Amino acid sequence: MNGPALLAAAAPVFAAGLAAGHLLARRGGRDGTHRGGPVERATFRTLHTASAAAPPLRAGLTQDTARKAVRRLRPLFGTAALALTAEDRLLAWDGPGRHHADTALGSVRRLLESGRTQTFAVRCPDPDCSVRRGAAAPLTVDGRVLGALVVLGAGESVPAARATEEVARWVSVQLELAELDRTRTGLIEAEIRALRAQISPHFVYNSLAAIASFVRTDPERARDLLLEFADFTRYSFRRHGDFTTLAEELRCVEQFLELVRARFGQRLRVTLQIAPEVLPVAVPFLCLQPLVENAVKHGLEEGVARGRIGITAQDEGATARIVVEDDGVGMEPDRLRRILRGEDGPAAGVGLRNVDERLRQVYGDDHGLVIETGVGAGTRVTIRIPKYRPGVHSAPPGSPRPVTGPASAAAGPPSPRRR
Amino acid sequence: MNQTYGIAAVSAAVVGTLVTGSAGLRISRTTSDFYVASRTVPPYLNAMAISGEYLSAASFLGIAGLVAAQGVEMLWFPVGYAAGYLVLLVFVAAPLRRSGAYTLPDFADARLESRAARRVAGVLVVGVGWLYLLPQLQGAGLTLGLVTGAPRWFGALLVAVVVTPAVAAGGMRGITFVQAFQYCLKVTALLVPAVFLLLAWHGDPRPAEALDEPPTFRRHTQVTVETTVRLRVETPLRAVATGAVDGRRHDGDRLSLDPGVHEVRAGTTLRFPAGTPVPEREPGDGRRAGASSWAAPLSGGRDDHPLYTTYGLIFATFLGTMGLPHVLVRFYTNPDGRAARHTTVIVLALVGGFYLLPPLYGLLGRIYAPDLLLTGTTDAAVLVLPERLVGGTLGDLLGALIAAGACAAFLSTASGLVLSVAGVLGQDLLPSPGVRHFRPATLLAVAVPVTVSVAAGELPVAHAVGLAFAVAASSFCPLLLLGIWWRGLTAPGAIAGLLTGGGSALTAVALTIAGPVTDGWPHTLLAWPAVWSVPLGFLTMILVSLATRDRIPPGTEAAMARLHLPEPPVPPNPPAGTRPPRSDHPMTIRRPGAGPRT
Amino acid sequence: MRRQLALSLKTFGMLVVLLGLLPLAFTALPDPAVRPGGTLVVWAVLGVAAYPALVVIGRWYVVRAERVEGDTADRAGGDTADRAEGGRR
Repeated sequence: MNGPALLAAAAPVFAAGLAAGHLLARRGGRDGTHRGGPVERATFRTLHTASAAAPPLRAGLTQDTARKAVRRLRPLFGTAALALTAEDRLLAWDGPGRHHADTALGSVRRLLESGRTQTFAVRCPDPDCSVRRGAAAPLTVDGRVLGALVVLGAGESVPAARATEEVARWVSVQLELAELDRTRTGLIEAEIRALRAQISPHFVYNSLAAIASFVRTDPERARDLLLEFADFTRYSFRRHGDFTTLAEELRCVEQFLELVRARFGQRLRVTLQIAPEVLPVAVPFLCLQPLVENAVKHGLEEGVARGRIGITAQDEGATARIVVEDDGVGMEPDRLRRILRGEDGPAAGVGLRNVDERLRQVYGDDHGLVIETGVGAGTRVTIRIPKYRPGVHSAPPGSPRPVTGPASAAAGPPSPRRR
Repeated sequence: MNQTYGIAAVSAAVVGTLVTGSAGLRISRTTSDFYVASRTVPPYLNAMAISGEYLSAASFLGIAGLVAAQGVEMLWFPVGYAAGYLVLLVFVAAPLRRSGAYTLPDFADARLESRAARRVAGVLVVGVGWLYLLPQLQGAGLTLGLVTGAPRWFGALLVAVVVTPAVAAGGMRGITFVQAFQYCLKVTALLVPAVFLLLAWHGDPRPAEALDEPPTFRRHTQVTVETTVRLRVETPLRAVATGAVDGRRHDGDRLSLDPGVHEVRAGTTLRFPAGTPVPEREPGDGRRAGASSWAAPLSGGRDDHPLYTTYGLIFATFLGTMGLPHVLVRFYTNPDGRAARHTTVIVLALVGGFYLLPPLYGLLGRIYAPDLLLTGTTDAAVLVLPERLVGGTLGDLLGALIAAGACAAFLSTASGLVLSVAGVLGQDLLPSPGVRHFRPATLLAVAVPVTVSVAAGELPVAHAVGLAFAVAASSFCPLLLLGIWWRGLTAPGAIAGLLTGGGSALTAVALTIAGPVTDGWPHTLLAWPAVWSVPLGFLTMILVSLATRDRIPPGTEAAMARLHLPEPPVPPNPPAGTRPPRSDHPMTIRRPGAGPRT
Repeated sequence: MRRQLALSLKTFGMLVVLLGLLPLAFTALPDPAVRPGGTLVVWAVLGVAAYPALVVIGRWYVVRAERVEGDTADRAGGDTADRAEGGRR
């Protein structure tokens, strides 16, 4: 079974569950109290328990998530003990009788061989031990058995085995979804990785053309520009680290502007206002350059005689506020909205959208781009970056280390940097 | 003191602060020289900023006051404040910078990967910040009261009115420049008058031995008592009184005070002839105050256990500096761990250099302003000395300069603290974090200490700071030291340690301020909690961590490597909360001027 | 990290020996009523001498700490050289 198919199968079940939950909630809400019959109450309780156990499982099957999930699932059975195992080891055990873990793992081994639900008896010298019988059902993701759900208790084995199987299937669905989430995140990361290194081909062409125009008249300048160009591309193509410091990012912008100026000369005026406190702040790699490129494009390239670009970075306590503005032609906000939704052709606004998505992904929806624009009123793009966010560290500039982080391991082999 | 000069000086300090703040952004039109100029904040500038933020009203006014009142043992305060930076340098500075944490809750989060630990640290940061804000507000009240004759609560209110909008509006934009400017102002404000004071002292025909016991009035002195005091007289002395002494009304009559304790009602004016030994002030609860043993390094003073209290002070100040919220925030401005270390050494030199001055003022205050001992307002010693010793217009000008410095002292520390406290409140403690919550958080951050300060009345400035240090030392010191140097720290351990250490110190502080226990060992233990609460914090943290060994955060090794290695071999982890972007949250797009600027 | 910790502890030890034991030493001083000279010593030590001493210890520590870090980086495989070459001038 593959992921999408399973998702399709799971969807109606969830829809039904949702509808039931909604109905119950409405009834409860109307009366002020919950007065359903015993069946409804049981349904409600079951759905509630299941939904409580879902979030940990959606993060995948680890010791930590298993512990939380088992604790929340056990009331569903009302049995003595509940356990989740990986293929060969115990992940979490809730309830008494932990000394029977080996017996349970033995049945999981048989389960792995047969691929079918196992029931087993537990022999215990302790007369007070409440664990007499058990059932183990497989957890399958993508047709592969990842582990097992083990229910232990004193009661009858056949109905227990059925229930175990059903719950194991539900857990499997959650794990499938977790897998899907992971795949999706990976895809997006790959997309971002692909996008972030893209510098516009127009820019490369224009820069080289501008440099070429200086080769005869001012070879010194041409050489400097070429070096700037080399530095800029090196920075843009670097492979390690998702984050850099604002200082590095501004340096990149500086090189970019130097090249732009080679083309526009005195037509472009740039004002930088940078509070030195914010220079060490870690920011997503290449989050500023697209904004500046955009400002140049709309501030200058659309036939304006003179353009001014302002870049401001301020300290705002726990956040750094960065503003890129131009005094260009601006745009009707609705049109910009369409462009950024990708409705005005696929290529338009890709830089801004990409920056926005990355910022939201890292810092949350409160930290996306804020764009202020109007026809003839210029454009102002503001971002706010928290100075600290767990897991965000700027890679040291020029660090020779390749990327080996867990999520980026799939991105490719370590980049060779040996000389 | 001449009010016109004073008001002008204080206004100049405020305006200077605001102007430096708004001009602090480097404006550069030619982009290429931008990098040469301000690639990052150089260590010396950052060190000046840290010193400027650190040297609070307690350092500027409180130390001299304590030295004047209680003598040489109070020199441990400045020594401790400076030595705290050495401890910070040795154990914390570089690793903390490498952790990338901006505040203490950030550090707890980065190292322990626990939201709960983050929250607990946040609560404690707010507690310590408020406790530290109290003496700043009191110092403001004192200074402004002397300069303008305004009531005590006015100063606290003025600070609130100046600092809150500045912080809330992000007006402290070039904060590093502001704080560096404040440091220069503070040093100048003490150094220049000190030179004149020393000259005047030198020119005094009777440069009396400062260590004389007890001090005497050097000239005919008139003292007006603002609150009812009890005076202990050792040898019979004569005075002229207007008001009520020992329950009898006097109206400019001569009065002879026999040895024993005499009660002087509020509002009474006493005039003493030159050469009279200064009567000793009895604290309200009947314990002996410390003036009698002024010159002795330990023997006596506030309590019956001088050695213990001295060590209490040492523990609190040595280990507490690293836990002050506004200090750590500045370390983030360093580009890397190495720079953080260099900065700290410079801070050590700058702060140490500054602390050479206040004891001098204390010494001179004892000689030339002994009436302050009688009224109990020794914190004012620094402010009144130029007038007493130099006099004339020059004295007024120097006094105004000192007033400006004092103003800088409480403004800089208060703004730094409010910024830190508001940041933590807005980010971690108030519901639904977000940028929009920063302003209410700022209001809350200021309102609570102002209310307490107005309600609580007087607390010796430096002593209150000592209590804040004690709380910081017993909660954050264990967290930072163990977090940085011990792999075995777990989130439950850290939380338990923070709560036990910080909680017990806070309780002790609350009991001291509320004052149900006033005597003997219990009082001493509560007034100087650091000696027992710091080990308690450490012990709890270690034991609980050992008990919860299976909860050691999975990222510990990576975090440790990042903290300690100059070139982190562990590449940056992908952000913890990676999740797909949501297309149903489009970017905010609007016309300029439409709606509030965010 | 072990060497850094050892260095830190050593420095901290110096601080404790230098300042932490002072209160004990002061109790051993003769009564100021008898010999006022002792008081002057206390003033000189706490009021003036302590600060240069702190700065000297701090400086000493920084020099040592950077040497340790340099060694660590060398052992990590000549990365520093690579970095110096690869880094921007």
